[in-house]
Amino acid sequence: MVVAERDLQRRTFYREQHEVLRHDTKKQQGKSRPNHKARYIARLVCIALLTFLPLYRFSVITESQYRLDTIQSEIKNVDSQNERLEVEIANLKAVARIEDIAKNKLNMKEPENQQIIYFNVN
Amino acid sequence: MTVPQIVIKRRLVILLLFSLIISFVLLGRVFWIQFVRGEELKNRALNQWTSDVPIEPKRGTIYDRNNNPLAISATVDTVVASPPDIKDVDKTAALLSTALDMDRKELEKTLKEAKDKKKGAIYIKRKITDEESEAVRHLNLSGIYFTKENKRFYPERNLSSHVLGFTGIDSQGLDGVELIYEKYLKGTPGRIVSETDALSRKLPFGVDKYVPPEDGLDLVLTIDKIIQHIAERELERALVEHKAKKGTVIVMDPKSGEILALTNKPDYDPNNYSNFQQQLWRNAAVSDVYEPGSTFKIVTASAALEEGVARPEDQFYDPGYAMVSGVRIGCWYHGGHGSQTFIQIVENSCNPGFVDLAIKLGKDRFIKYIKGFGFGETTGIDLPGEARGILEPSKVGPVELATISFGQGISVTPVQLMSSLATIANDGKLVQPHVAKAIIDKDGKTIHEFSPGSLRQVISHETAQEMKKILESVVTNGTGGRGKIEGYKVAGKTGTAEKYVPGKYVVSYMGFAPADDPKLAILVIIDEPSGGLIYGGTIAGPVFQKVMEDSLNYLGIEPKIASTEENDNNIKVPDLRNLYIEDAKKILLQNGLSVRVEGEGYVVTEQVPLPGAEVRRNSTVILKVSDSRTNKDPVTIPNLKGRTVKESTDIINAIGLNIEIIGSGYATKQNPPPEVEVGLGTAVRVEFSQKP
Repeated sequence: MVVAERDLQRRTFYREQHEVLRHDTKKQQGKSRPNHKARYIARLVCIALLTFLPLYRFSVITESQYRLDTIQSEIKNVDSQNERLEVEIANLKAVARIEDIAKNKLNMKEPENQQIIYFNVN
Repeated sequence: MTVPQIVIKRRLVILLLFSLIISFVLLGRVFWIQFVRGEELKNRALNQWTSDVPIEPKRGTIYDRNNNPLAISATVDTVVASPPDIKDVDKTAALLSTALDMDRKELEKTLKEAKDKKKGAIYIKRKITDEESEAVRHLNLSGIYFTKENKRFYPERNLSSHVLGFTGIDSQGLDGVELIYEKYLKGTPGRIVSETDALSRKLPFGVDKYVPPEDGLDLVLTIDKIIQHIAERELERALVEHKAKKGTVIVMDPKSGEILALTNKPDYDPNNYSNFQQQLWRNAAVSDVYEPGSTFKIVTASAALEEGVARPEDQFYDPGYAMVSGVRIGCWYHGGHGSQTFIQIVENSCNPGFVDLAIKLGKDRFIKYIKGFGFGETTGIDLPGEARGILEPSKVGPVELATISFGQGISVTPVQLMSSLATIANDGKLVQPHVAKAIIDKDGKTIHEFSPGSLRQVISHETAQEMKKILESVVTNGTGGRGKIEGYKVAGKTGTAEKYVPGKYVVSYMGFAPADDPKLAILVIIDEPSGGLIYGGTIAGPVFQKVMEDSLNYLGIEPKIASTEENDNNIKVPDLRNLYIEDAKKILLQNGLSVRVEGEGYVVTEQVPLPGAEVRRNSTVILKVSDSRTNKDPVTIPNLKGRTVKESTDIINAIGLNIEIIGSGYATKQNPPPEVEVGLGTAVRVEFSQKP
């Protein structure tokens, strides 16, 4: 019977189609298993990395903080050293000391009136 | 046995009621704690769980007018002990006391007491030196820590100590400008508030609150450290030379009232002021009063000119004394100055002349000018402890009026006197003396400028000009000769006041230069100089001259007067000490100098100016004689003709010879004759007769 044959053909066609599909899927399934694992591991690594990132950032911040503290205390030290040097400079520039060195060490003398020449600097 | 339902219900109701009451009581208590006592408890709790540490601000720097630092603050270490952490107190005290130069037993006692009382921290030694700090660090002791504190340093040491003052251990100003300008210099303290546990330990993750301190502002003074040094150096030299008790020098710009130098000697080092006697902290220039003597005559002369009671060319006569209400007031120059003009009265500093002027002025007018010049009230100078001086018009009678005219019977402060001189130099305008110039911030930006300006016109511009000329002639022709400076016009006035203790004097010299356009006014006071001739001109004059000359040179103020002619006319004063007076007189006259003799005797013991000093021809050399003996060998026989037996004996003995007296009365003949040179101990035969 023609109708029944057609019907059979159609069924066979569908079966074949289905077979092809199943075959493809099987093929695909065999290929995707290692990919899937890799992705899984990659995801894990990503997550691990993501969890490390804030930790890393914390460590960077802490380190910066530490560096900042060190620099700040260095600045403080340098400042106080500067202050002391300023005092020392002022001590060395004391007018009585300079006069003493000029007169007694370098044998300098005050100029006579005739030795002074006045210039108009303006 | 079963409990009936009703009993259970009743119990439940009771329990409910009880719970309700408890709840209400608790609620009430919470309300009480939270709302009624909330604020108080909150503060108490805050105090308990936080530590509030103040942070000391850095004190402002004090500069001189050219921005040279005179007082600086720097961070230094302070040694702190935490007694609970100290294991071996004896050992710690022993090591620390050596390193910090402290008393071992006292330190041991302090540490033990603190440990017993369980004190958290105590100071061991504050603001230590770098060497001490290094030594303590090397010891590496447990329980010994360092904190930072600000220490005040005065790099110029004693320089200007009475102006600067000093600060206490907590960096608070205690004297001088450190005290007066405390509010600008000290700054605002900051604080750190941190959370602590029950044992006052800082919580690791507690919240810190930090309020930064605001550093103090810087102060610029009118003081010039070079002029200040010149003034101190010369004053110190004079005090040593004349073995004087103390002295004061003030240098001022008469036009602005700016004090360029102010010094009192002896003084102290503000770096360790506690090592000096407290009386040395006293700023005599503003806090002490003294009788000014003749320097005050500028006030009398100005008042007389301003009121028209005398003109410069008016003639006066000084018989050597003045009679006021039956009291005889003598002139310093025995025998008096005779006939003289008003200008000569000031030049000669003649007391009876000034008494005359004061009488002509009358009490009211004279007092008006004395007050006008600022006496009897503080000048308002920005230094602590200023005195007003002693002037009580109600107690001024005719005699007091007369003595005040020449500066006795009135007490003034040096700064008042300086101010009155500046008034004349500043064309009659009284200016307020001051030592602060400006307040600046850390970037050098001016926050506040001090320029008090002139207070009032005391005398007219014309009178001031007249006074300038008269004071200039005091230096050129009068008692102020020692203030002369080659090339500059100098105006000045001397002063010598006897203290209430006989034989003790205060000498002074004040003046300004250049006289026609005054740049500097200087006052020099020397208290209780010892030695021979005690006059303001002779002792304070050279100090004035040197300070003025060096300061004018330093400021680059060019000399205006050509001095070549003067140089040719200059004569070196010969050494006349230890000579027979008549010989000394002869030498001076041969050199073209005139002579004034003071004292009784025949041998020169002192002379002014000293040998080697250059003076102009016809200048007067003052010789002080006494009855001591010379030791000159060979001796030139003096001319004794006309002298009495006693005089001749004294003269011959004084020069180391022996006398052989024949007759009595007046000397007529002598052998060897005058001018012959003989050896010491030679006998001189002198014949006397009743008729010379």
